[in-house]
Amino acid sequence: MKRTFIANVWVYALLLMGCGAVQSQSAPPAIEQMTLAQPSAKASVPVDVRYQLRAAPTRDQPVGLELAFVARIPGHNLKVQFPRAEAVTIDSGGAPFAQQKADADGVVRRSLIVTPRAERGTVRVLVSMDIEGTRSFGVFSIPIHLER
Amino acid sequence: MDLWTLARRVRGAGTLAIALLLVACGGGGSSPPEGPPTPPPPAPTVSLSSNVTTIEEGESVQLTWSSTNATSCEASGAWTGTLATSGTQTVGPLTVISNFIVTCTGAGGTGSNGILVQVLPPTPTVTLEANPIIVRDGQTSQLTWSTHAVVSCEAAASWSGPRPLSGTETVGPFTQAMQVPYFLDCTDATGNHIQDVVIIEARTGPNQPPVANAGADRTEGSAQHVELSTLGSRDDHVIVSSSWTQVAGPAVTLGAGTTQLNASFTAPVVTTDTLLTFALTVTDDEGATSAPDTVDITVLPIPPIVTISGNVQYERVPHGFPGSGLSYASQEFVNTADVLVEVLNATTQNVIASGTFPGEFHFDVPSVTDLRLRTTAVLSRQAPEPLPHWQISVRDLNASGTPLGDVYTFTGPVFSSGPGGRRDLQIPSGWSPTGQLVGPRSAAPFAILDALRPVLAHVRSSISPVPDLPPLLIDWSPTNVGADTFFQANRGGNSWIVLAGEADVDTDEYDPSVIRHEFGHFILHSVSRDDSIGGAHSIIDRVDMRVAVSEGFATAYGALVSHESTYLDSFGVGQRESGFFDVGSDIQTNEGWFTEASIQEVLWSLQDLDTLWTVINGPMRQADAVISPFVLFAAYRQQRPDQASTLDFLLQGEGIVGPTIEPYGSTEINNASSPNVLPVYTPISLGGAAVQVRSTDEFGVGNKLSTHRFLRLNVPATTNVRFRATAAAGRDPDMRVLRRGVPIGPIPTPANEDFSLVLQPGDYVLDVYDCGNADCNDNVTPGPVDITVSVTTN
Repeated sequence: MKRTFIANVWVYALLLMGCGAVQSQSAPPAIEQMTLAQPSAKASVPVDVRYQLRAAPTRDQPVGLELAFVARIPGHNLKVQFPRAEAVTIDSGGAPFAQQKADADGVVRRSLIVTPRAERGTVRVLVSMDIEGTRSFGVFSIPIHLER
Repeated sequence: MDLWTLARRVRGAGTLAIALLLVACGGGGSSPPEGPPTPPPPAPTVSLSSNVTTIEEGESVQLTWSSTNATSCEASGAWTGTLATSGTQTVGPLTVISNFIVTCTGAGGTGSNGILVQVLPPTPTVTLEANPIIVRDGQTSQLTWSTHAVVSCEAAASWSGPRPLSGTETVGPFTQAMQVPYFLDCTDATGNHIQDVVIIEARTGPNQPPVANAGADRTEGSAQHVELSTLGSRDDHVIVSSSWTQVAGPAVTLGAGTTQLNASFTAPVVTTDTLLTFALTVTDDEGATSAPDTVDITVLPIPPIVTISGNVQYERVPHGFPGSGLSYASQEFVNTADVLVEVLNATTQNVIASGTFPGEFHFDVPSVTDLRLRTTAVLSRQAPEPLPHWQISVRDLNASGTPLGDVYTFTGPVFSSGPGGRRDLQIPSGWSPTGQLVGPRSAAPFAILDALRPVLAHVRSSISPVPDLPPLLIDWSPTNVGADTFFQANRGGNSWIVLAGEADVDTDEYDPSVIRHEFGHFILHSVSRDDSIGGAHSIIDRVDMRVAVSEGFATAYGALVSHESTYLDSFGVGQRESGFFDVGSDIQTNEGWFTEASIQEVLWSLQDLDTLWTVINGPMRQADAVISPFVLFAAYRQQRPDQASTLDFLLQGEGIVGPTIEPYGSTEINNASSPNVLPVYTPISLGGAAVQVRSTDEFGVGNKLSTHRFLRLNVPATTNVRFRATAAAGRDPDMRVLRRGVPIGPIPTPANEDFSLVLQPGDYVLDVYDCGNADCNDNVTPGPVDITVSVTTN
């Protein structure tokens, strides 16, 4: 009876994931504990992108990737896209999203589940934002490197 | 609710819950099966059409109908009666809008269809004609008129009085040479007037037949287009038609000429001089025909060498409105120039001619030979041409600057040089009008170079000093990573611009403002001095002043030379978005000497490229202070004292000190609302008291404002100087000694700094920073750090 009951829990879990539901497993990490993603070389967007992996990445094993977007200057129409990643698949949370307003020091969070497919990979994040009659964008790189 | 609680609640009904979830996820069931039903008889269908659906009042229509599964049909609406199950019937005349319906009946019930015919009021017309229209010496002419949908007519001009709605009337005889107008004015039922007029031309004496003139005999080249002209033909009145016939030589096909009376043909390709003769007759407006005149056209053989000329054209993809990205639907071929063009023998692939041209290319090549045109993505101006010189090429490089292939080229299709002529070389973009990639992106390297032509035009016309620019490699390929666009000096011995090429993320080949921005960095580095430490930035970030002035200059310079203030940078899926700003608009966020937007706005507003060129070539290169907005604008103010008030006004508008500006910014009062920003330079004296400065991450890390702090040191005589920079335990204070922007002394260590240098007399800048804030030591957490600096003699 107990085995059946536990099996049902996993069935529900799989079904929920199959329907697209993704939930963070625990409280989001503090901003100051998250690493700054590397911005692109050209003129970028005044937004800090921070990240933290939920666990050490392992080849072909899904791992949670917590993202936080912090505008350095208040803006609006904050849009986030996830271009094709290198040697990493984004299993969930990779749909583009937008936020009408981005307050300075306000934090926009996103949780991804990614799977490393090679020893060194990169998740990229394309962020754009409008400020005072201008629009800027930047591509941020998040290294997903397997531990040796 | 967590998963465990959910599981406990649904445990008793687990199967049902799973089924529901499956349904929600797209699974589903089906209805229980039943026995096969008896099909009902099919319902009749009816189709009905009309030969026209809009007619004029009084006209008829032809209706055609057909049906299926019907045994009888009935007309209703604008017509009535029993109909066959299919047929055609003319109905009319109709006077009002009419709805025709056909209803058919069968075992399965009834079906019907209808059609609406619009009936418009009649259009009134009047036609008045004269025959003959030209009369001579007492001849008469007969007027004939007819009308439609009018109620009365009145004659006027050379005749008068009421006239029936149609009729004929003889007028004349005409004995004097004159033009005689006849006017007929009719009125329709609503009072509208409709008119027609005819003018009879009366002439005296006999008609003189026309005289044909086929033009002077001449020579033409093989395969040339030849025009046969009636221009010299004459008549006492008007020539209305001509007839050209070939009377000698190999037959050619005569076609239309550039006028109704002319003719033309394509000369045959001949090996010896070949005579073609054509005869011309012309006819006047009274039907008199001329005697024939002939013209001899001698067709010459194609010479062994002929000239081909044309333009190099690349398919440019323009931007749509700001924010909308690239507009592939609007792409078009546009001329470019100054690139290397070569002519290849299509059989041997040997280059038989080459050159660069400021406009169209012209080559003397063998006639009737299969050739190909090739162009190379290089702009070059070298000795023996006078200065300025440059050498700019586009190719694919690896991350180390090593070429992965040759400089990009494009080779056109095989063509025959024939007798020479025009031949454009068109380079396609590889994108369809709907934004689909359908071929190689061949036009991209040439679009990149074309974006630089306004800059090079400025360099070419610049006032002294005229530069000898170092070679520049531009690295572009479709595999260049999105947003990875930058300028780098002295990489592998070359200056280097890398441009993004990643489709659906960021491509830069059709972003001229981005290309010119990076080239602005190249110009600053090549003819002046660029002390920028690089790094990530946006136009309104508060950044290190060296970064602010470098980026602001690069953007403003590109805008000034191209006279284009809108900066556009396409990105995103399908390149359907763009970053944008206007260089000239007053962006009020974070204004100050630490923001590149402020710098570019002032430079754009000054609209003074000549002085800017003088400043960057002279005073800026020689400045003891690091290159900053203070150095730039103080030098400008010195060069243009007549513009001082304008500059002060612009600087004050951007929150930068104006009237008292000097290279070290000692009078600046804009502290970005922080106690950790001013003074711009902290004075420090040799052998004097230690000085404390604060490096902070308050505005971000890396290249942001106040991660680096600056101290100003004067060394009056050659001295062995000891430098020390200390901070709290666990920090990593660094210090570079800069002489006119160039670091001297040792590479900083990961702890406190303590080193000695023998310095010549002069002004020095100490660049002091905490490596945790400056993003050069991952083991040190960013935060405010007080660094104590002392400078003593050894």
